[in-house]
Amino acid sequence: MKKYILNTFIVAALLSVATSCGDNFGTMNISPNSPSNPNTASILTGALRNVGAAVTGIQPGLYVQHFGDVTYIEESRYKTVNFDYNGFYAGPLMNLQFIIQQNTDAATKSNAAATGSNANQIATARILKAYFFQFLTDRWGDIAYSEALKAAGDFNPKFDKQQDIYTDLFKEWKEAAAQFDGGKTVQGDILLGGNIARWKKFANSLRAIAALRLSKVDPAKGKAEFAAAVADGLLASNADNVKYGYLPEANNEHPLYNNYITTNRKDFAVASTFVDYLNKVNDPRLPAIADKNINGAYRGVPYGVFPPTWKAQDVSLAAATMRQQNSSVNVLTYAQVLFAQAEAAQLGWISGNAKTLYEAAIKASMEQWGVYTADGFEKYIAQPEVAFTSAKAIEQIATQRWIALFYQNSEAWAEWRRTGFPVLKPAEKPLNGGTEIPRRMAYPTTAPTLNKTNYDAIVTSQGADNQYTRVWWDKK
Amino acid sequence: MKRRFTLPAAVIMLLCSISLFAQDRTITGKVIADDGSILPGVSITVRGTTRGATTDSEGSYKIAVPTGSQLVFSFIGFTNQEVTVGTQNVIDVRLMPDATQLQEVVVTALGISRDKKALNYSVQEIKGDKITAARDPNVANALAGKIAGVQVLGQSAAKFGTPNIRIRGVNSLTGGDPLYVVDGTPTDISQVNMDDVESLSVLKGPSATALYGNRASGGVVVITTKKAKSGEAKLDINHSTTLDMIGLLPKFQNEYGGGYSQDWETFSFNPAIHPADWKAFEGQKLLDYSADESWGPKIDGSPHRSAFSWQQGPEFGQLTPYSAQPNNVRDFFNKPISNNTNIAFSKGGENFQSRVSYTHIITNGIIPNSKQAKDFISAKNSITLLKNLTANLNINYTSTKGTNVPADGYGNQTIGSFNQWFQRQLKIEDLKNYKNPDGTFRSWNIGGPLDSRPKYWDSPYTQMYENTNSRSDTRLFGDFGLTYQFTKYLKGMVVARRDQQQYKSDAIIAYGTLNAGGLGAYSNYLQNQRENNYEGLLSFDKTFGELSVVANAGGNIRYNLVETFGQATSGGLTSPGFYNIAASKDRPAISNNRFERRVNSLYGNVSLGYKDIVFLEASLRNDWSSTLPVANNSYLYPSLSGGVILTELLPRNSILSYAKVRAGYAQVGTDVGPYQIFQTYTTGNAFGSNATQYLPTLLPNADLKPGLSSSYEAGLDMKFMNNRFGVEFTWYQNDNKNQIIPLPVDPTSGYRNAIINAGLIQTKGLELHIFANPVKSERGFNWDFDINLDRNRSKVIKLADGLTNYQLGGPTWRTLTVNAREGEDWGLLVGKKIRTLDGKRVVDANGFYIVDDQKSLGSVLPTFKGGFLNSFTYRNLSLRVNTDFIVGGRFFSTTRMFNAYAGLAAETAGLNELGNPKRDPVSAGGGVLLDAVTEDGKPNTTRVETQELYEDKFFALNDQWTYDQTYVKLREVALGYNLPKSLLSRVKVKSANISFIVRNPLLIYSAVGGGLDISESETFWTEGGQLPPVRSFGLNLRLSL
Repeated sequence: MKKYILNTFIVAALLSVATSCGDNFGTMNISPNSPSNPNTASILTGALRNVGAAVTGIQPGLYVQHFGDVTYIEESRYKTVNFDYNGFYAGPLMNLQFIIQQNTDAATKSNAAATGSNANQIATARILKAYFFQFLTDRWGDIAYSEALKAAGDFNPKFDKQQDIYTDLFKEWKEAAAQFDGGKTVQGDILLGGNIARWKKFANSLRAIAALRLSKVDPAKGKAEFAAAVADGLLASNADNVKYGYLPEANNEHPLYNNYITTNRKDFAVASTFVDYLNKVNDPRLPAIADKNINGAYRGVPYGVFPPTWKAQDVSLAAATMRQQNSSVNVLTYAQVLFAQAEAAQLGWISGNAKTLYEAAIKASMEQWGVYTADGFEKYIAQPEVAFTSAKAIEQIATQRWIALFYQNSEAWAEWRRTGFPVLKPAEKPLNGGTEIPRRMAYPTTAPTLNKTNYDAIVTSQGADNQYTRVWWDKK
Repeated sequence: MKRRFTLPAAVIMLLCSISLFAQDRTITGKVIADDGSILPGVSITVRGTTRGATTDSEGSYKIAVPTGSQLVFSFIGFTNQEVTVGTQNVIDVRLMPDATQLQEVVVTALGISRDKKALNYSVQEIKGDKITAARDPNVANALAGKIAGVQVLGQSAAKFGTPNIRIRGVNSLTGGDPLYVVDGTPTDISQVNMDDVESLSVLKGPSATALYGNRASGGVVVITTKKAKSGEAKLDINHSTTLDMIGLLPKFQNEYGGGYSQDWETFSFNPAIHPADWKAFEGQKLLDYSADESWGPKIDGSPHRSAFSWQQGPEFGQLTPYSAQPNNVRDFFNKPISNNTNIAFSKGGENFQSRVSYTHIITNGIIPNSKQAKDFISAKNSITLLKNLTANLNINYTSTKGTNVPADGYGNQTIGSFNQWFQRQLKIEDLKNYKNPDGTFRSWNIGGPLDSRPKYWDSPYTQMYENTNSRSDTRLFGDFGLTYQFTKYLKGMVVARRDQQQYKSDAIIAYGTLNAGGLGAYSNYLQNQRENNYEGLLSFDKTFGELSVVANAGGNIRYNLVETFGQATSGGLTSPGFYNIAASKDRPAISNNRFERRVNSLYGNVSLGYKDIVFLEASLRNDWSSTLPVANNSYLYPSLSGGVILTELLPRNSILSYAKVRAGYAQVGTDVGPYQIFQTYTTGNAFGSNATQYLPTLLPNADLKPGLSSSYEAGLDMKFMNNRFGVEFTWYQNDNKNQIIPLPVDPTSGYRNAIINAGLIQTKGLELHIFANPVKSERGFNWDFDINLDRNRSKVIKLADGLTNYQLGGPTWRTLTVNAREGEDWGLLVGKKIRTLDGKRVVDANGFYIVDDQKSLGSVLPTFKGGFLNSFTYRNLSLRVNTDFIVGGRFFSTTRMFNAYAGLAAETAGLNELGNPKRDPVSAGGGVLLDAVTEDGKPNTTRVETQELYEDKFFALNDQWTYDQTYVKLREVALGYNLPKSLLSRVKVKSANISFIVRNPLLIYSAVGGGLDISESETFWTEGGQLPPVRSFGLNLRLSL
């Protein structure tokens, strides 16, 4: 009897094993750790969190000698050659592409509309996507664009010519600005709060500045695009400035606050080149930009000199007022728009008085830095170095823009490369194999290792993958 | 050795009919082995008849025979013995081992014991005493060099880590860790109590592991623990005490101290910023305290102001001599005493066996204030209740408590600083005083006289005494099973197994120390994990004439659950000294995750043996896995193998004692981790009140198919001269088809990785095991050795459409990657390479190397690797000496790069070939002349500045810091003495052994040099800031009562 029960038990156990085999396991493989349904508002916020990083990435600020290294005299000597853009592709760009797709596909668009009308979300995402792509192409030149962000559809995107990318960027900004409807306001917009008017001005101003990039390589197209952008309406006051605001919390703190206060590293200080020039022109913006050193003097860190003979206390760090934990950084300012118009007027692209625009730009910049006084401004622009002179207007505009663009690192570098002003002396002993200031960033290592055929092709057509091959618009 | 009970059916029938032979006499007796141990199951037959008997569990037998008949005593592994029955009624027999027929029983898949010669695949088994000689508490370390094809991925004992092993190559593409099975229950390597190990088998290829199915693709380590024997009552005590110390350090320079420039700075009094009484300091020599490098002034003994002379306390304002401290790093490390104690009780009767064991291991770290306590408790019980029903209960409990386990890797605050970012002239005594009376922290690395906040580094003592952490891991695993013997040849078994773990950790960053913005931080983590296995198995074992049949059929349900909970403060602590999540200044980071999976399986196998000459085996398994798409979640895979014992076909001879050829083919299917099929979205840190969400950067794949690895294996086993010499040779090839990998893709596609089924990745290898007993003297001297060698190569034959490179790691240090490119050797390091001309390095006009990027720096796979194990015995003395080695294979050393970059390495100082200090300027005859040629092939004559060379030019110059892994390591030495029996019998001790043990005594050769032990590298291709190896000397006492 016992044996019988046992046999039955064993057979039953084996049977239960056998019969439970072929099941489909129900919902066991559905992750309880991450949502299966997206929230496009949260995805937009996530993508926008990268705007600050795009503006404040430090190397271009070192190249244009706004900043210098304090202890490790490395990036001011161009130590890093290959820069990584991957975080932008497999990051905000892909997420913005996803927002567009969610608001376009019939299956998902009605759900997506819960956080803003489909058109408004698409328009916002397109403007931002073009903003990030311009940021990338200005740094690396020819980049993956038309075949990028297709996931399994194309794991080997080709590199597009910068010229073609620029042509498409103008179209994107134009179409996107026109695409906003009167529908529900976009949620999750931590940049402009879903304000359509401001998004349109942002897009148009981006177009104007992008048009000016073509001043040497394709002035005809530049002129046409610039005029069209102005007609569509640019930023009209400092109140229109596009700023990325950090927060009083560790996860979203200002990068210089992090470097100076949180980690106590104090890796970067205001460069001697910059401090010296501001001192030379008695610039009222200096106290808003730089702190005094331990001896109570404005002293820029000697630029690109190794080994260092100073410490952080001996040099001027960026001003405490601009680097609180929750300070903002400027993405695109009224002053920039005015400088662009001044230059365009000088080039004869638009009607308008270059001098007036130039002075208005300086004024806007001083207001933006919070140091404007009517008296001080008048004195400032009366100085021979600053006073508008038509013969060297381009240099003057570029130099004043160089000051105005402090800590808008990538933009400052692009404008310096395009205009060549102010004339800067390269670091003493560059570490990147060259002798000049970098004019491009080399591709990340993943390009040759993971997309070799297209990489080889673009190196053949664009030129050596180093820091001295000029991007398309950077014509000598 | 396990004994095998062979009971031919005919014998049983005869036993029942004994009463028919009324005229017979009854003979009784006892059969023992050569060494005096009892031999149950010995077969006794009466020559010329079909009568017979077997010995019982006490080795006794009883048989009725006619006078004058001949009794044949036979037992596997022993020479048959014949005795003619005379007038005696008691015949005791002592059987001698048969050297030509020594049976080697090994434990194979599902815990089935098999005669090794019946197996058609490579299995290497080692007995517990061979791996515990030096009492390394970790299985992986203990296995180093002992099994061909096994590579130990070591870790420094300074962090009490659990090293792991790779079987048949580091290039196993599915995670690579083998499956550890303890008495049938899958668990983790850290749960193996070495004192409980009876034997350990390494099943290497799919032929051997076929029955374990989809997660055995990394091989299986089958561990059988000790159990009580019938009729035995034993108490074993095993205790060791070791003295641990740091094993290796780089060669440091002691000529220059901290700073970036050899020029002294002097104090310049400024009344505007300095206290008035600092006027007295005017002109005193200062160092650059903020520098964490040693390119500073020449060490000359002159009075100078140390960093501490600017901090609170009696040193303030003091001038101290600027002197060399050659032992500063070494003096940081402790020489602690550690203890390892095991006590085990075992008792067995006719119907029960029980063993309980307790081990307590206290390891005190060589890094101050670090320690680990580990306890193992196990019970192994077996009760035979009815005649045929046996119940087994095995329970293992492990508790591991780590206190201040030091961090490893680049940037860690102890060795990561000492070897990479440090000032050479620092006195370690000065660093010990790490805290000021007012609670602020002191450091050697401060901003300057007026800024004493730690700059890049706290004192290493701050790290160990204030930034504390604790870890606790408790684990319970075991099984409950019933076995029922239906007939002599058929048994059934049902078992339920569980392995359950709770891991807790927390960590403090003290308020006021460098990290967390000086605002302190606290984090904790909890993980609950369990695996359940429900098994049923029917086993059939019968011999039909000359044909033996072993067959098994069964099923298994496996369920895994992992739950994790993590919390961390953010933005600092609101209340200094209150280390709790509630003290988080910002919204704390909190995460919880749950991972669940199930695999159902059915399997079976059949083994046939003909006359001990030909063996055939086949198996079939089907898995259903919850992690694969429903349409593809069932997968079936077979194995087939065969072998022939050639010596059975040859005449017996004294040279070739044994030879077997074997070949096999097997497939193994694999699945993937949970949740890699469907698109989900990642929740990120909120931006104020705005939530964030992201697309993950790993692209899931809803069309995933199971991976299928096909393996071919062939081998030849030979023994010579009565088994005193032997060789086992195995060749294998694995064709991994549809292997599931998270392939890195160009992120411009929008994703960094894509889960794909890779086309075909092929692995080939050779394994050689040589064993010998070259000396066996009459006077008791014996020398045995084992040599293990293996070589392993992989290649990507086909990856995926349009994709040709599997980037396995990197980029790191700018452009260094490790790759598996289609058609090329697996594991190619690619990065910056120094240009060469006819084998000579080439320099430019400035005397620096010319460098090209994206060049091959060689494969990381070793040319070959292995071990050389020696065992000497002389009477009561025994000596074990174990070495292991790797030859070839490249790797990148971050430690060496920064050791030189920061001017710490001996190579950055001293004299150049002109006899001038290297660090003097080139203009003064200093500098370094690189051994190279110019682009036109002429010898280089351009001297370069030493600091510029190491800091500017050699940084991230991958080629310069890429080395061969080649090393030879004397890993363990154990000198033991068995106390004589005569002495022991008086104190009622069965056996006693005392040993002197040494672990990690010597790195005999290492190509990388620089004080690194590559056998403890964190990954197979790079290391950085690796913790130092620990050398242990100790005594071990083993007693059996």
